[in-house]
Amino acid sequence: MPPEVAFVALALTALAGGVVAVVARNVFRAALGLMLSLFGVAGLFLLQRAEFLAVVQVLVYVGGVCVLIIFAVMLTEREGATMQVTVNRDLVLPGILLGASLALGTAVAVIRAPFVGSPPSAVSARELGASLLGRYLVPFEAVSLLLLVAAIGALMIAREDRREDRREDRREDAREARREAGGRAGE
Amino acid sequence: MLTVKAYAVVASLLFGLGVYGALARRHAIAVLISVELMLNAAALNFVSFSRLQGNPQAASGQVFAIFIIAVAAAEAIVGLAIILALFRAVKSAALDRFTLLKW
Repeated sequence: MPPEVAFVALALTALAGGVVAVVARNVFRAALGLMLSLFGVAGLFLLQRAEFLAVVQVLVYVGGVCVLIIFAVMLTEREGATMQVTVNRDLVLPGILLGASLALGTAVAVIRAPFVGSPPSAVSARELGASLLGRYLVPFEAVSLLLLVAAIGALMIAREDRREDRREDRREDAREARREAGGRAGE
Repeated sequence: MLTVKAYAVVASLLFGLGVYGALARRHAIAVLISVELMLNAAALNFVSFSRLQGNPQAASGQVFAIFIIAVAAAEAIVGLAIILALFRAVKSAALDRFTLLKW
């Protein structure tokens, strides 16, 4: 397959997935659209000879972030009502205008700019690892620390408050018992 | 034909879609999805522009893209945890219901 055909197919995949992710009324479908778009971008990475990055994209984004988002969709779903996405009516037109002007502006600027392209050269995983653990060692360690802190912080934030829960449970039990007692008395 | 420009145009269109979604959607998770789209467009730009640099520097662009992916993952973890905690408090995931700090 000539690279132009592959590029057009992958770009259309990425953009179509993006449109679904932004327009779909169902959050779950929006997450699936994001997944499609991320796959398309991974293909574009592959087409630019960034093989390692493409694999990382699929592993981390599609396998991690998207699954996380779908979990969140399922955890925040209540009788199907919150699956529906509505738009903020006041912000639709500004959103379209801002998004379109940003996209078209940068696109026109990029098309008119005189770039001198060099032939795509593959960056091997060995080179990438050498620069990650050599030139970019400090940022690399900082990012790993950031991930650790984010994971611990997310656990702290998302944890249910057990004490409050138990108190509520007890209240619920008491109410239930009272209701049962009342029902029996009524009979 | 297949130059950096083509990739940059695709990335800018993806970014524009993300901007619209982050502004106009009312569901917190949908906004997070749009932010992920924008971050991905930036990563695509890093990779395609790094190719202009020739081989020793081309690794730098990919390292930046890896950093973007890692930071986006951290952002998604924390964002979704906050959305879960807010959902427990407000029983809704709509952004304009999150008015706990308003008096």
